[in-house]
Amino acid sequence: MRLRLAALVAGLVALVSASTAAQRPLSPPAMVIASTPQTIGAWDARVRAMLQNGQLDIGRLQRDSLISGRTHVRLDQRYQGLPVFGGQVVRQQSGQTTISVFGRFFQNISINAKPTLTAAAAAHAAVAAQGADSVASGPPVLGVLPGGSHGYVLAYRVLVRAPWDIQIYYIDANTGAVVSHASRIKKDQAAAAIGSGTGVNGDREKVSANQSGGTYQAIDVMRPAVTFTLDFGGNPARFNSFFTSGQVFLSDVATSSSNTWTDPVVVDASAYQGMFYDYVYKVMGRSGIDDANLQVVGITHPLSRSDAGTYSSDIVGNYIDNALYLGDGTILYGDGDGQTFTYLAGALDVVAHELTHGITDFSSQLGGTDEPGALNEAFSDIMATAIEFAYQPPGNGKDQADWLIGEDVTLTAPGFIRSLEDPQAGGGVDNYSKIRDIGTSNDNGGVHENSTIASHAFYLAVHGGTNRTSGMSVQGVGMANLDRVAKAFYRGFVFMLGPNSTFSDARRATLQAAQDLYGSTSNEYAQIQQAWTAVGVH
Amino acid sequence: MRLRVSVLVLALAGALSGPAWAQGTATSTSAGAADWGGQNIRLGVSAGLQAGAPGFTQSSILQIYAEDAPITVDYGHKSALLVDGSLGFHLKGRFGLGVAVSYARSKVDGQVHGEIPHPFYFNQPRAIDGTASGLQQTVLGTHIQALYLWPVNDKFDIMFSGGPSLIMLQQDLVSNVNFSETYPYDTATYESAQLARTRRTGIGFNAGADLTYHFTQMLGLGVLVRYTRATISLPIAGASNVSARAGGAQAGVGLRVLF
Ligand SMILES: [Zn+2]
Repeated sequence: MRLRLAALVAGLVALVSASTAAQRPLSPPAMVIASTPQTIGAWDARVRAMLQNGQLDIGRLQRDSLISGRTHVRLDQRYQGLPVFGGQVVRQQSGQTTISVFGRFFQNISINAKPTLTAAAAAHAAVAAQGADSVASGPPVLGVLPGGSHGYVLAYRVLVRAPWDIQIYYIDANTGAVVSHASRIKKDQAAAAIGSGTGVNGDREKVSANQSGGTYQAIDVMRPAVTFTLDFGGNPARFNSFFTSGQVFLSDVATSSSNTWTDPVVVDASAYQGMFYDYVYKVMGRSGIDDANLQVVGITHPLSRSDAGTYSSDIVGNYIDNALYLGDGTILYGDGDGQTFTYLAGALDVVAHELTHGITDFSSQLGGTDEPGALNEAFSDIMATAIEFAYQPPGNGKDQADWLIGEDVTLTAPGFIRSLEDPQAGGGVDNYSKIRDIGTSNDNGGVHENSTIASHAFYLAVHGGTNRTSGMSVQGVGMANLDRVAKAFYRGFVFMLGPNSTFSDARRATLQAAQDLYGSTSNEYAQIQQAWTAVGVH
Repeated sequence: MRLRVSVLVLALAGALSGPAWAQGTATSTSAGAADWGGQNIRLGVSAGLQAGAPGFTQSSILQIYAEDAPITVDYGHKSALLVDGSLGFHLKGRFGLGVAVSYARSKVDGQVHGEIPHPFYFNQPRAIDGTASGLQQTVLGTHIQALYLWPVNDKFDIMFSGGPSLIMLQQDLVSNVNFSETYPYDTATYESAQLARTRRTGIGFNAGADLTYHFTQMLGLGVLVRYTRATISLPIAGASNVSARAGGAQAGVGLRVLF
């Protein structure tokens, strides 16, 4: 049987209906909407109308970072300006064209949207309910919670951080009572236990696990940012429910009975997520993605490689032959179809690239298109390469450090996704004079193909070399000083660039950073300056 | 305090070189009967010190963070309080047969060195060093002895002894180490040692002499020097064995009762 998107969506409908009926008998019916290309027109119009009358609001835009041209826009349901918790529609776009819409929203809401309880009182109630050593994280969010005897409750959502747990409380905004609470990922008790396993390319890695009874969970509790490695087992129903609700559960966490880990994908995802944290902490002095130890959730096997032949090329391209940063510290690692890519978590640079998108999200918020988008991609590749050189021996073999991106998981020619050393070899642009596709829907304005202008400048400033287009040579600071240049780029990109920055801004920002760090007469400053000039950025 | 056999022997020689020795030489004939001066049994009770046996080294391989963690412990040695009881029977002429039991207990330190694996990365060990204090060491020796009495004079005699020993060693060994570390775990600091009390018995030897001053025919004051030693293999997790030397030089003073 050939399983297509329609079948997946049908499964989603059934799943959501069943769970709604079972868990919330008193809640009003949640309407599931879904679309196939055949019915897209009507749903697209409906979504546009709801956006106009304020029933939907744009929440978050997510790029398919390794696949060009696709974005997912999350549209959050609103009621009198307040969020409706759980009401969300996700629209997949290719440029301006809507490819699919799915999600659900709640109907027939009619409640008084004015709370009698203050946000501070709600936070206090949630912390009191959670108990000692807990603290409210961030401001409570007032919204409409489906459920309760009247169908909907005006409630505050309060995030409560407790030792080794993050609980989401819903506090009745009129009575102060706890309406419901659940762990984002619940854990019994942290008991760090280091295990080991073999990665995708045969590398031996340690796995920082958590022991719970006789089971080891792929939860790294030894780093300040708790990091979860999940295994969706290639189950399309699980994957769809995650995409609809955004929720993950303890049951999703990859486990081992012996702490000798046998799934190479889990091994590499866990180890490489840790290397990313370590590098960013030790070299950049940053505490994780948000510099506040945001927890990281890495999802392996979102869909099964063995089912690749039964999915549409869109689904294969997005969720099998791809890795994505989904926002809020959540990354998805495709299985690879075994023809174009193998398991994407098997590449340290791919993992680091996606996690670096998280840093960008929490700092410069460089956009997803055109020049800012290209800088966004470039920064991810720069950090990915720096991290590779920090944790892998230099060389051309598997799990060795080089100036290529994705070489450890790419199975087809040229054997990598991008090259920082020779951008043209990977189909990229090596000089600003050749920048292309800006303002088009092609690769979101050329974000990947133009990214190598900046990442090649990084290569030239570190390693030295000649830009093929300008013919200009740069000596470079030498590989031993790679981290010093990486710091200048990190500092410029994270602290000085903004959502609409251009290549020219990036040149100025990295030079400012180098001047601050090493002085304007330093070799680092000179090499970075020459490198930007060599790639045609002035 | 460190006692050595040579020092003890010198002390013994010093005692003999005093007036008693001269007197003894002059009167050796009268007391020099080829027997034990008429008594057939000699009981001795002594208290004193046992010099520690030379220290020994434990090399263990622990499993920490999914990797081998080599730990070495250099056990020191220290003088121990000694209690000794002996019983000798006259056989024939100057010869006899005896048994002695010595008990010594002390606390020694162990210098701990470890290479603690990094929790996240293979082959990035962190060195720790520290001291495991108060490691209890108990040596119970049972000494089978051939005896030879040399009557120096009518006040002094020397009983020479030697033979096999059964030596029980009870020793606190380091079974694991506690260390502290904080992210990013590039260093680790020794905190304490986890101890395991092990006990094994080995066969060794003893050789010694007991100088006795006779107050009366039945009662005397003895000065004992003895050297006893056995090599004992102690079992400990993570090490093939720990080869410890037990015993050492013993010196004690006490009553001698003759029947
Ligand atoms: Zn990307």
